[in-house]
Amino acid sequence: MALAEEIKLLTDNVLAELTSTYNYYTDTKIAWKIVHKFIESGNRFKIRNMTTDTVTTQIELSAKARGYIAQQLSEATFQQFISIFENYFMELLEVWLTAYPKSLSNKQVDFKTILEQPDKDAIIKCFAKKELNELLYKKPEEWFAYLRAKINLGCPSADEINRFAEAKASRDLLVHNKGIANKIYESKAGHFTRFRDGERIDIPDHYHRGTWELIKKLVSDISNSAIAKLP
Amino acid sequence: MIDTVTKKQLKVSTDGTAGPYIMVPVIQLADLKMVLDKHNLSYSIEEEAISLNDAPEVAIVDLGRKADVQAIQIILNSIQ
Repeated sequence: MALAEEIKLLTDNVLAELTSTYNYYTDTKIAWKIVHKFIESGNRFKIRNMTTDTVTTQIELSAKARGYIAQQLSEATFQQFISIFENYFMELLEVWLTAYPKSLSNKQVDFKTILEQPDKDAIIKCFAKKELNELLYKKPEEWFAYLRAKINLGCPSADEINRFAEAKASRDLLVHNKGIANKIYESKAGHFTRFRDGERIDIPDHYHRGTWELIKKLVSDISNSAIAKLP
Repeated sequence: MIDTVTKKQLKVSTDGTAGPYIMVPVIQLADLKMVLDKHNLSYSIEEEAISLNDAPEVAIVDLGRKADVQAIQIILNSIQ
């Protein structure tokens, strides 16, 4: 498959996944609203967990629903937005490096690793994966600097990179620090810091939607610019 | 196989994207499991049984994405 087609296919899949995740978020919110209306209309239900024999009534479920939406649902889908972008970014670079392997020519790798690969394509893929695996653990600023060095796209803007860096730092707190802001977050988030050391972060609706829109734009802009660079 | 609460035929449902499933009153769950086991059909029972407006509890039996919906429906229809 030609590189442009490969990038286009990757982009279509990623944008579809982003849309599907956002739809899951809104559909789930709507489903909970329907449950709420259903209860308000005087309906009663009981849910029995057949494993633990725990029974939840409509009153208890209704009380839990607000937290499910405001915290668990928004945090889970927000984390998914970031993961989708991470995967997209690394996959895009992988297909690019595989198509233009000369940029990896100064890399060193064990001879054993080369011997383990069936052919030249597999060796190139292996080099690219190794390089990108190291990049993945670096800061987003470094990701985009790497992208600039390999494919000078003229996007995203510094403001977009900083906004993404804050979102990624928020996601890191949710995954690794029970959602509590710390000094590392403040340093990663820079001007866009939303919380101070010790505060519990949250993912309000406007920020959740704004992050989704930012990531969608980053994916479209990066892919379109990369395709435009191709001969 | 007749649903003893609704008095209608048990139906293999295919709506949604999570694969085919059967909704069955909990009081009939053991009978349904026996039928599925007898035909070596794989399934899993969702943990939660729901009772709406004090009606009998209903359980959901997931049949897996690869389930042969028509064949299972024929089996259910054949049981009185």
